[in-house]
Formats: sequence, C-alpha cells, structure tokens
Amino acid sequence: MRIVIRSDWRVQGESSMLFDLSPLALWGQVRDWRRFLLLDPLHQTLDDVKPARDSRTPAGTTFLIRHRFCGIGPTRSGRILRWREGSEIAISDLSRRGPALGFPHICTYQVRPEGNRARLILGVRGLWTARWVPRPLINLWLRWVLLATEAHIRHEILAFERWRGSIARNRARIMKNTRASLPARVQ
Amino acid sequence: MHEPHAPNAARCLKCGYTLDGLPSPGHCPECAHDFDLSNPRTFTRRVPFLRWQYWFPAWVLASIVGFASTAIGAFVFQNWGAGLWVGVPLSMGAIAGYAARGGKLLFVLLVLTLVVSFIFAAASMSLGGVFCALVLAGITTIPILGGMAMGVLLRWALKSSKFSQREYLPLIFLALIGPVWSAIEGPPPPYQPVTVSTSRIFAAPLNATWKSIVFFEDVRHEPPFILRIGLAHPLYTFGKAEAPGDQKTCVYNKGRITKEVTEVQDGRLLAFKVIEQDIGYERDAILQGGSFQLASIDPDHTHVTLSTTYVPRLGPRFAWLPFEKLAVHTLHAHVLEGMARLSQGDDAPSRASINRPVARPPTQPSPEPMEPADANRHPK
Repeated sequence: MRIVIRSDWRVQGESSMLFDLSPLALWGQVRDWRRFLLLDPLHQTLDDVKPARDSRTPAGTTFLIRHRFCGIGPTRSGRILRWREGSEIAISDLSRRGPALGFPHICTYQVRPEGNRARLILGVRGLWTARWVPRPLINLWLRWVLLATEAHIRHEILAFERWRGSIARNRARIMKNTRASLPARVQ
Repeated sequence: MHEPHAPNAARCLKCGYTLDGLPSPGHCPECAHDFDLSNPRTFTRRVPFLRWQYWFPAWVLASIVGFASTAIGAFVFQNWGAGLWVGVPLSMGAIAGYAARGGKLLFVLLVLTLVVSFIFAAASMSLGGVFCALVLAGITTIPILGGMAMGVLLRWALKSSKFSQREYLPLIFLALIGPVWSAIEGPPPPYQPVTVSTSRIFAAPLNATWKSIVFFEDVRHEPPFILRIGLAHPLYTFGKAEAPGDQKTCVYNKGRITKEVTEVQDGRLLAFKVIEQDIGYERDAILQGGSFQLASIDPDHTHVTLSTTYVPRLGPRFAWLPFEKLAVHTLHAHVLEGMARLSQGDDAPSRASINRPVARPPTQPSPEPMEPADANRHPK
C-alpha cells in the first residue's frame, strides 16, 4: 500500500491484491460495479442511478453515494468516468456543494494479468480540502479506508472462489453419479 | 431517492460472471454459456454465496459475546444471578436470531450449539462443574430460545425499514444485554436459608435405625449418577459424631467439610452444623447444617427425616431451586438407603468408626489415625 500527500494537498493512494483467478473471472466480479463500489467502508448505498444515454458501456452513469461513518455522513455525487471492458473502472466521488469542496476524488479499480493469476489495483486520487487536519492523520485515515476496502474485496472474492469451487465439486459429483447409474453399454 | 431494494446484477448461471451491459442475447465471456437478459431463466440475480456464511458468523459472534459477557458479569460485576444465567443466554440467542438466516432445523441446531457454547464458557472459567452444566442446559435453553425469537422478529421488523445502521447497531445493543443486566443486578443478595427434608420409613426398630445413622461420606454403596458427576468424591474421614461438640471432617478430592454435632437426643435427634466448607461449591451454596430425626411408628418400623439447611447463592431462585432440591433429595435418598442397609444388618457400626478405606494423599496428613474399614460389611 502506498499513500502520498503532496505539498499542494493532492493525495494519492494505491493498494493491490493478487487473486487465484483468471483476469477475466476477476473482471466478471468487478464489473458488478454497483455491488463493488459498496465494498468501500464509507459507501452505504448507491441511489438515483441514471445510466448515460447512448452509451454502450456504463461509462457516464451518474448516481448519489450515501457516505456513512458511525451513522453520520454526507450524500455525495458520483459518476463512472472510465469503463475499459476487461481492465478498468474509474469513478468520481464529489461533494454536492461543488467539485472543489469536500475532498473531491477519483477511485479506480484495475484488473491486470499476472501469469495465470489476476491482480486488482485499487487507487484513489484527489484533493484534500480540510487543510487544518494534520498530515499524519490524513495518512492514517486514508490508510484505514484503503485497508478496510481491501479486506472487504478480499472477503468478497474469497467467497466467490469458494463458491466456484463448490459448484465445480457438485458438478463433478453429479457427473460421477450419472455415469455410475448409466448401463455399462451406454458408458 | 433511496433505493433499498435495487435489483442485483444479472450473472451467468454457470460461472457467476456479471452480464449486465453485455450485448444480449449472447454468450458469457468467461464460460460461453448462452444468456438472454430478456429471459430470466437464462441468468441469475443471486449473488454467489456459501451457505455457511448465513449462519457461521452469527454463531461465532453469539459465542464470543456469550463468553465475554459471562466473564464480565461474573468477574467484573460479581453477578451470580439472572443477569448471568438469563441475560447472557438471552443476548446470545438474540444475536444468533438477528444475524443468522436459515430454516427451522438450522435454528434448532443453533440453539443446541449455543447451549453447549455457554456451558463451555462457564466451565472454562471454573464457574461450574458437570452437574451445574447439566442444570445450566435446562435453565439456559429457554432464554436462548426466547432471545432467538426476539432477534428474528427484530430482523423482520428492520428488514424493510430505511434504518441505515441496522446491520450493526442492533447487534451492539443485543450484545450489551448480558453485561448491563449483570451490572444492574450486581452481586447476589443475601438469600434466606433453605431447608430441604426427605423422609423414609425403615422396616427396623428405632434402636437399630439410630445406630445406623451415617453421613454422606460414610455411605458405602454406589451413589446415583447425579451425585457421581455432581459432587466431590470423599476420600476419607476423621473425627466422631456422637455427642454435642464432636467434630467430624471429611476430606474430598476438592477440599473438606467439617461438621460439629450440636444436639443429640438419644434415639430421636442428631443435629449438626457445618463449621468448615471448602469443596469448590462456595459460590453456589453455603451449607449451614442438618439433622436426623427419628420417630418410632411401631416396634418394627421407624420414621426417619433427614434435613439439610443451606444458604443459596445462585439466582434467579425460581430457576435454580427445583434443581437444588433435586440434588439434595437425591443425596438424602442415597444416605437413607445407606442407613437402611446398615439397619437391616446386625452389626451396624458406630458413627465414629466408619471410615472409607482409601489411600491418604501424602499432602493431607490426618490429625487422627484412620481406622481400618470392614470391606465385607460395606461392599461397594
């Protein structure tokens, strides 16, 4: 995990995770973006989702993100900025008071192949506007958010991997039973 | 506008790949399975899940809360009553009911495993033995069931609400039931002493019955199951109990009890008080004393009443009292049976001479020499 807070208050954070899945299978989960965005611990719900007109991909879709921490938080506006099928999603997360207020930032989810496995890179880039907060505290806060998101994603993908494993085992068992019940000449 | 029930994304039936936004009809990019987003039978909106995730985290959470609440209630708030034995199981059941999803069979299994968890928690903190565990199984099942029903109803009520913190806030409140109840209730109040009496008619004359009076530790035949698992095992005794002021000490595998005879009316009454108790049950009950009362019915029959007085420490009383009475009546029946066997023999021993023939541990030197026992007279 890498977090950088620059002198002009631009912040950048990145976290990456390696999964025992093919890049296509991992992307198959990431592209359920409505579910995937809610793995951020601060994102409670996505409301008022409006798909972009005349778009072949979800890019351009706008929505409201209810942010909650201990039950308190603002509702912010979001938009899918980039949708690269098979590899990347980028969304904006802005204050409804204006694009320069309340920590405007972009979250990115990138899927990259790494041998037979897939790496998910979670990124956040934005402008920290509450400049009275000490930098170490900002670092700590961003670190916690990224770590919690990473933990939720790992849990989600692990559950998916296990589900696939159980489905595969069930299929193998059904096939075996079917073969056993067939007459020898059919086999 | 808030949309609590937005539909899940369409997924491939075969591999779980998210199909929303792909050209339809078409093939799954991962497994090539056909789908048509206008035909619900060709895809699923169910999120891939593992069945155990619907109950296992709830069971673990309820067990951890039960363990922590028991420790806090017993050791921090010194509670030994309803907060511990009702509040904590109620909280465990409510958490499981709120957090677990499943059928009736699953909930029945959850109740049983939570009872076991609670007993394990109590036993691991040396708060009870095997007998207590069996009694607790009876006492805690009802609050766990009640709590589970409460949790399920709460989940149903909040399921369709817009309460944004329903995922964790109710769980925090449910987890606090046990500790808060224990804190409010506090240490056990000074309960009134309880006297439990058991009577039996002996087919023996008064004199022979009087000579057959024995204490629990002197009875030689095999005790019933409840006493075998519930009480400490007597190792040996010393002292005598024939006249007022006599003291008799029984050394158990967990400590000792010393009784002092307070009143003797020859052939009618032998009363004693317990002057020392240190056998590991001091948090449950403090023994005060007891008596043997004899009355002749006719030359061949004697009515014997055995009484035990103790100060209970466990609450709530309505839950524990029946089990305490059961234990004391069982103990009395065992002693009376021992007396009956002795009274029907012609060589009943004196109360001073009955000692169990067991090896004395080297760390427990007896202040008086132990008399040899007659194994033939009191076969096990």
